[in-house]
Amino acid sequence: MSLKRPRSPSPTPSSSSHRPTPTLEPQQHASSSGQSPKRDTHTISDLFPYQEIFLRILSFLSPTDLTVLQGVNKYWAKMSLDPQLWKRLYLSRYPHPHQSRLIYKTQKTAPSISSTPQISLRPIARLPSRAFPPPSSSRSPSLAGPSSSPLHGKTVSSRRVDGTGKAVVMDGRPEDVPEVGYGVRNDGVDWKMMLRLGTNWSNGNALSSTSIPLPPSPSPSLISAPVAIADRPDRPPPYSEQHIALFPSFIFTSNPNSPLVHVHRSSTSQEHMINGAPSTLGIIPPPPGWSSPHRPDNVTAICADQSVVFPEDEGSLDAANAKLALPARLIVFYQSGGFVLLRVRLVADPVGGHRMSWVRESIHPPQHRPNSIRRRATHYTPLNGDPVVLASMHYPVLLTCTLAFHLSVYTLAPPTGEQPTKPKHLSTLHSDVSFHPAALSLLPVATNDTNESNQYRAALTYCTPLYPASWTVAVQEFGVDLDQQQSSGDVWRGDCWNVGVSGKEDSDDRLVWPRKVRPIVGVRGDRAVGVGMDGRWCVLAGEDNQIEVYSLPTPSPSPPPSTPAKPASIVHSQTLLAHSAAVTSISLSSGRCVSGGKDGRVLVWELDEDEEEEDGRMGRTVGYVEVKPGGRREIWRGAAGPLPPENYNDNDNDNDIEGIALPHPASISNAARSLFLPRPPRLGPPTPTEDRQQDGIRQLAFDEEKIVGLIRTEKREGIIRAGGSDKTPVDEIMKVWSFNG
Amino acid sequence: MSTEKKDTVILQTSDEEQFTVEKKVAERSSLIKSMLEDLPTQEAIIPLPNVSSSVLSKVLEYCDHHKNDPLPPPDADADDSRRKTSDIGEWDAKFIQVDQEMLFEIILASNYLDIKPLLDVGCKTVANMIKGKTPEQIRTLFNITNDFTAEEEEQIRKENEWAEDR
Repeated sequence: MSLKRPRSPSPTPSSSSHRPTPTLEPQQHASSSGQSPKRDTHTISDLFPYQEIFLRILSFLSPTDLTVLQGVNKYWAKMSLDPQLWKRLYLSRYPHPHQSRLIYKTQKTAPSISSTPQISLRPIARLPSRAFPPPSSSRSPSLAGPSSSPLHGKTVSSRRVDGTGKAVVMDGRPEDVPEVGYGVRNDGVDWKMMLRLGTNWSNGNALSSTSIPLPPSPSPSLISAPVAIADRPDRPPPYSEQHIALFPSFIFTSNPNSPLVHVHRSSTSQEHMINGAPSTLGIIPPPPGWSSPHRPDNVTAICADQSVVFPEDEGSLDAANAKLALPARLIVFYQSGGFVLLRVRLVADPVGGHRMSWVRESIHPPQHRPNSIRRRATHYTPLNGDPVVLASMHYPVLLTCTLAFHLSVYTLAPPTGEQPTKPKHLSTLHSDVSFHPAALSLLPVATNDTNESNQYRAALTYCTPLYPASWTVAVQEFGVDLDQQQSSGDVWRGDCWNVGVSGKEDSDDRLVWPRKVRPIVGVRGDRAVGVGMDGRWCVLAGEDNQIEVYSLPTPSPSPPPSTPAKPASIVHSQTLLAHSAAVTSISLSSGRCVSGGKDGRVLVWELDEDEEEEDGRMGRTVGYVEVKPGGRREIWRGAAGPLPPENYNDNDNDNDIEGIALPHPASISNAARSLFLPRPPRLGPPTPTEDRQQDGIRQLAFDEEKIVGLIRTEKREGIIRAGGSDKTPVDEIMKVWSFNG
Repeated sequence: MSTEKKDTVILQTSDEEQFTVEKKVAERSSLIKSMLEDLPTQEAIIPLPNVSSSVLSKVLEYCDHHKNDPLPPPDADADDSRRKTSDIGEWDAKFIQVDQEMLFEIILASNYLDIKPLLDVGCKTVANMIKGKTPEQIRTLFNITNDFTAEEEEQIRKENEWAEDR
């Protein structure tokens, strides 16, 4: 940033102060204070018109002070909103190596933590992603005034480069004060908003939390179906309680027992609320002929497009709703094997307000008839066919995974006229060793200059059994290379990683007895609750209150060599332990892990880069925050590796105070236990949850701005199980915690 | 060049006063330094039409005290470490204890002469005056009129709730 900004106009005020002072010697202390009668007395406030100096003054202030200054007057507000000030503050508070690398796009990578600097960091996410829509005037009132006109300067170039979209055209009033070095200082990213968002995330400070009652399932008999299946472990449970897909402007939900997709507003601002709850925008049915009341073609998965979509007609909505104008691409998978690509957006309603408008862009025809519910009512038949339960899309690439782990890659083409296109099937792979829960991820390979990439990296993160009665994770990578037209391409199989120890230890193959065998860290239980993967980390939650975090090795260059030398392995990095009850849901994206527990708490964990310690163990402390409105930072610091439960032995602390000579035997056994066991033994059953009044979080999803959790109270579930009350109570509530007001 | 003692430059202020200064001291100012590189003649008089003698003497006092400090890198602006703290050194704090008029002049002069450390000292001083105050206190302090409506003020306050208490 050695860009030379235009210097402030050299002040005439100072040269005007001709004072015949008799200071001849430079070293003589010219006690100028009160020396001469002041004619043109200048005060500090005369400095503020010099914008460059003013900005330098402001650069020494904290975010809190800057936000206070915004309330002084309009000029101060404008100066305090200078993007570069906030960019510096953001980067100093969140010096995430991935993010800074992505922001700066320099060839020089951030301080490398890996041993192979040429690949170094795995991309986590594009920083200005689809959650960071065009700079909007609605975000700050001071930007909306005349001072916002610098945004006119932002042209198409910036919108393609940083992906933050268009410059919002507002009033054409001339700016009263020219901004210093405009093009340098404003890079089109609302850094203040980013800092605000980041601060709220790190504080767990949800600015708003709203509850959206989910529509009841079609009929009570269908509600009881998943309960019955869950009672029989030999049957696969329904993959998720509720399908959720998040967009900056929409939340899509779908009940696994319904063919309909419900669309909700994600905005929680007051104007969109009806009776204190965000209005539901509408329902999207399956294509005609797919579903009938007796043969419902239920939704098996929905999937949100991860690519950045720009609004096609910018004038349809005013600037305040620019974010809402962002269209959403959603894929809905049906039990019949068919799926539909939808393009959903808000259009201004002539009557007032907005309404949803959607088109089917691409349709994959059904493969077989959906089951009749009449027959299912009498005896259970396994799902006909192999429904898609997982999907990941980065337009135009679609990756699907079925219940039996058939992975298919499709490319999607834009519709020609009114006619929806058919997705082009590229390849199908199958895995026999994978188990659910699993996670799919699909990321474009970041090329240096352009964001338009034809190369994608996909990964399937799945559970594998671990003796005895435990589960651990494994990752299979894929590559998708499209041709120039983005219609066809190659799919190749990349590395497969299992949990192991770090590679350098494997090289030591001297015969030493007893061999130092490192335990593989997994979770215990009949099944794993959830996995997540963001390209850098993967997380695994079991049926207890622990979350295991693993660090992925750096990928080999694409496509991988035919004879892989020695596959690197996933290394256990840390154990997250803060829930007081069982973890019920987990979600991971961009180094941020959100977990929900039976205790009703939603915790946000920031997984950072860590330095590898001497013994190969990833020494790490990680902070978590609990999500609650008005939350403030309260970091829990824990040691790396497994920890005994907090209630293990309370008298240990007393001995620590006076224990200068010898460690307490319990602490030795603790240490020994952590060495020999993959996890501390379960000391008694987990905390009973009956007496808790909070509702457990059943399922979680989050994006850059919000967390969506599914809550179903135990009590209500009991009612349904017992008698199937025909009142159809609202048994599921979707709660939205928004970090962006 | 090698005999530093003899190297002096003459600076002429806006009020026609001339200061004979050790070159090392004068080169704290990047402006003078680059001017000296352009004008090889030793005895040239460097005019500083934007600086009065009273201010220059104060500035030179600073330069003299800091003449042995390492020069900041030319693109010191990119260095964020310097901004992390608004601490001011002991001597600098005493040095900058001047009235507002002089502070104003020093900041402008150091900006003109391109003496980054001194400019930072001045800016930090002003920043410390601003720090921790409410908008109303700042308005009174600097005699600023409020041109916000009540609604706008409320909106700003609400918008910035996240940053409070940090």
